[in-house]
Amino acid sequence: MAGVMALAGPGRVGARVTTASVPRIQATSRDAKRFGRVSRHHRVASLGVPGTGVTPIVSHRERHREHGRSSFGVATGTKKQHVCAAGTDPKDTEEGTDDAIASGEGDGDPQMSDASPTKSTSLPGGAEVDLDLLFGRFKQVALPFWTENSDSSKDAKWLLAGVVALTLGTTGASVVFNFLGRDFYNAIAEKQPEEFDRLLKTYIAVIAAAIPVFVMRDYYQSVLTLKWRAWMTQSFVTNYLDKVRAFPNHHVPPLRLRILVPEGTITTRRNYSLSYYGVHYTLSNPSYHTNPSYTWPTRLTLSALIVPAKLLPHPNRQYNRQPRSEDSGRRGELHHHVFGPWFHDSKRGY
Amino acid sequence: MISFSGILLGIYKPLVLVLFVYSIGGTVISAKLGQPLVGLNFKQEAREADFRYGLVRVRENAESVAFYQGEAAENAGLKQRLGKAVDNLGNLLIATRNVDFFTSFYRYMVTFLPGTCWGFPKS
Repeated sequence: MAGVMALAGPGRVGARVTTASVPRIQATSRDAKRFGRVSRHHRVASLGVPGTGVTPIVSHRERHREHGRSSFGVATGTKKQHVCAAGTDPKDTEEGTDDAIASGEGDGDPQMSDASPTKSTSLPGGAEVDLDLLFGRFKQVALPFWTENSDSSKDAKWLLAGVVALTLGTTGASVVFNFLGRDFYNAIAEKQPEEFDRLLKTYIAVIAAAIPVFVMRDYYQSVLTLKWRAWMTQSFVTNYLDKVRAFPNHHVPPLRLRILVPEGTITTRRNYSLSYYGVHYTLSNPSYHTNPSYTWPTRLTLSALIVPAKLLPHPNRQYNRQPRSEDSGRRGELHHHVFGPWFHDSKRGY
Repeated sequence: MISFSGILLGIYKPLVLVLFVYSIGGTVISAKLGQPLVGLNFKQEAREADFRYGLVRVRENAESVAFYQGEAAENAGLKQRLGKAVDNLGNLLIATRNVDFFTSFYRYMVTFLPGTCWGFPKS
């Protein structure tokens, strides 16, 4: 994250380089249209890869562009966008860093094409992956349930310890079964009735002892998953409603609660958009009840790594923007409010 | 299955009988034990749908909610719906666990069942 912040900062704005041969990860204009409204206020920056010496290409228009366009954070977002016009305040860039992570080139901006000839030949839409960002989000999503100081957190830790212990138990049981099976069939093959009787009894005893381990491992794992999901869902809902409260009555509350009706997905903060999937991907997934092998680590990892990678361009959206008379691009806001971010009017370009 | 049974029939007849009893018995018993799961799963779909409806309602009426300062009430309503879904899923997990006790036992039984059939008459 820090690397991305540094690259997006104003210090690099002047570094307009035309290194066409340097590989870059960036959004194409198609993505920008698909995932974010591109207006003349839209920030234009390509994504530098931290630690690789890849420099973002920023048009000279960018120098005159506002840098503090709000991130999705509520506390700072709404103020910043009015405050800065010249993009010279280093603090503002700190705030707006996330916006630089996935942004596209401007619509119909020939200067941008000049600045980066390889732009349109880069990765297809949704394929940009910033591992730092992903890992940061993963931590933001995964940790709070465990680190908060509450009873449910303590319960969860005990449950986790239990699940780990039971999983070790199942491994041990599998080994025992393996050896027992070998001896049992050897006894049959070698026609040893006494040995056969003894092993048959042992087998039954081991099954009686091991079955609860297997079953309870699955059960407590599911219980832990359920607790986690319930906790996260509740905290998102509360978080969203807190933000609704935080806005004055005469303002339209920002649309941070995004709902995909078919899957029942919800998110309250951009930083949490991934957590939403972690929780609700499973909540309404029919295979959850029918496929026990599809366990929570798999699901969490999948939803943490694959889904957000496709949804990363979200930061382009500008839910926080305050009304501005000169902002003609805002006419899409109502459309957004009514239809949500997944319904795009391609003719209007957002 | 039929062709395999034919082969097995030629090798050892009692084993075929035992395996048929095993598979039919397993099906019947697990269907019987799994009966409650049908209702619970149906209920779960309904409860989740209720919760999603609540979420959509809050989002669509977010302005009104903010205007009338109804966040606490909405939160309580959503919490209740989520609680119902979670409770039902808890019941579902318990029912699944009980069925699992049988199915796991049955699954492990098959590892020594053929050997037992094979071994008993000769021992």
